[in-house]
Amino acid sequence: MNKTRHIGLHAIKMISHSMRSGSGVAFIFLTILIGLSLANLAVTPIELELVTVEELQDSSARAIGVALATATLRASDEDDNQGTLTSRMENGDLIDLGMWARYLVIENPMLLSITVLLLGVVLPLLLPLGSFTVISGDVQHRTVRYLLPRTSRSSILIGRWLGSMILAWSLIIFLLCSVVIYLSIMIPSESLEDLIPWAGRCFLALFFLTIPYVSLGILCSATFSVPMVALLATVGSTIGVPLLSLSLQEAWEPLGNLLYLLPWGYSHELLSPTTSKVVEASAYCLLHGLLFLILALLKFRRADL
Amino acid sequence: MSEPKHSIQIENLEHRFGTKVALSDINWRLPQKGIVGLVGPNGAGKTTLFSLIAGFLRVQSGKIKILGSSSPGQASLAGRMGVMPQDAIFAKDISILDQLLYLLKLDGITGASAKSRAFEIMKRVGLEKEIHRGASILSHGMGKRLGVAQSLLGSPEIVLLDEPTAGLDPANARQIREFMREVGKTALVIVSSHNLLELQDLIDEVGVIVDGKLVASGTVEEVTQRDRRFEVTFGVPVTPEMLVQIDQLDAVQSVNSDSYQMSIDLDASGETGLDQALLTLQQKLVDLGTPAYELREGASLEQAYMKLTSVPENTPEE
Repeated sequence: MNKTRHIGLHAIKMISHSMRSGSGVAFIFLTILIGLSLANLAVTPIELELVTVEELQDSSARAIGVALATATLRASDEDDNQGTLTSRMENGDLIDLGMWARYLVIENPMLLSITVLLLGVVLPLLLPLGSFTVISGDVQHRTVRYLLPRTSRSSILIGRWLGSMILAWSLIIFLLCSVVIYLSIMIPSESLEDLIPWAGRCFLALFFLTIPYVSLGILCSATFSVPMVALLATVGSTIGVPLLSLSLQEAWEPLGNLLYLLPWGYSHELLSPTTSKVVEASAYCLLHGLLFLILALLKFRRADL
Repeated sequence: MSEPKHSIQIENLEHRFGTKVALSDINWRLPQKGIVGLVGPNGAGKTTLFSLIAGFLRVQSGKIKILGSSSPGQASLAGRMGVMPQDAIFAKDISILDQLLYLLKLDGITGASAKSRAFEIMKRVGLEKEIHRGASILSHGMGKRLGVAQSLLGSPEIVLLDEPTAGLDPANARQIREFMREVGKTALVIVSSHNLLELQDLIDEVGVIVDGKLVASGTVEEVTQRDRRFEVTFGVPVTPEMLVQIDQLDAVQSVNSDSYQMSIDLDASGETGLDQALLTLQQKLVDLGTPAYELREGASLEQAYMKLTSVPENTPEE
């Protein structure tokens, strides 16, 4: 009971400190700015009258289909003689992916889909900015020493993890609301009636995607007592894992599975039209987050503070 | 289950930082209440021992039993210890009141009683005017006082204070000492300090750490029993002959003079102990026709410390 109360207190303190000290506000501002910039990027071709909405939909469906096919079907890429992925899609060889791209871009509000897909890439790099000092900052300044005689180490870590999660989820709600409002103003043809339910679906995808990446930030923050090192470790591993897996895969294909050290290997499934795949990807996100949280707990409980 | 007789029991404690041995073979039992001093040269291991008792560092070898718990950092100890770490700092961008209220909430004190406790404790350390400000405006001394205040927020049974009066002006240092005396009536206060004269008047027991080893522990009388220093003031300047005559006494180990004052180290280890040594000294002074205008105990703890740490007393201070 006391532990639950302490976890709640640490979470509230983490959120209020982050907002009042300005770092949380700066983080929210930065993320919304990036989110709106991405939305603006998606809108620009239409604004500049380079393409019509229909043409953009068509080309986006192709581009997203190719990107998804490249990400998910690299293993079957050896039979190049059958033609490029694009031509395979056009020939109906990759019906599932074609349907997926169609589902994302044509059946649902296209620009919101594109924005959220881009966010799925950008968010993992942004989230560490909100969590890298959560533990390491207090360890560096020894402020944590005022807490240790009063509360358990696990309460501190879980409380701050929870606070970071709530902050990140609130941020995603702000972000999607602002993107939806922005898009409905810029492209009136994308009606709010279509945008809002789809935004809810996108929120769920980003909600689950947040869990492993915030947990990774907390793990690095609990491992490194210098905040800047914790930040570099989080961002470095987030970028490094896909780059490493792609380059090592060239040497030996199974090394491509390194991609699954982080959610990069399955995160796109969070927006799949197939419900079972969404559930599966969400479960993987939860498990990944849990694994990072347990590792952070083990590290923090044994650390000299 | 009966309450343990000792608040803290340390057995065969060892701690290393890499290959450097910071503490070795520490065995120490500390009472349930009173004020215990922890002294030793810089780098002797005082802060390491504090950090191990407080649960900041993990115990590598040996045991520390605290208030019946088998090791530091147990959930059962939460809120029962108050710690003033030497180098911790409060968050600079949040008001001190908010930070104290947060700590009080963790101690289980909320609402109006938490607020009144925060104001009361800040008044005790003379910082009531700063309570609505951020910690960034505090001077070094104020930060120390705030550290002491937070360690005594709840009702801790053990209080660890790492150099609480270092850098404080005499009035504030006195205020903190009085506070410690008051707390020491109901709780165990462990305090480290380099001001041995200050400690001697304050503490009931002392532990001396040198090179990671506890070389002496017990009551101040026990630690200083063999060597007691007295300061004697005369109505006339001290002459070389007086020094020679006093130095020749069996009970006198060494003697130094400064104008109208003599600093005499007595050997109180004889059968009749300190009383006999003092009688012999005073008789000699009367015989010399130079009665003492004032005779008071000097820095006995410092003298014992110097011997235990093997530092020559005439070593110039840094």
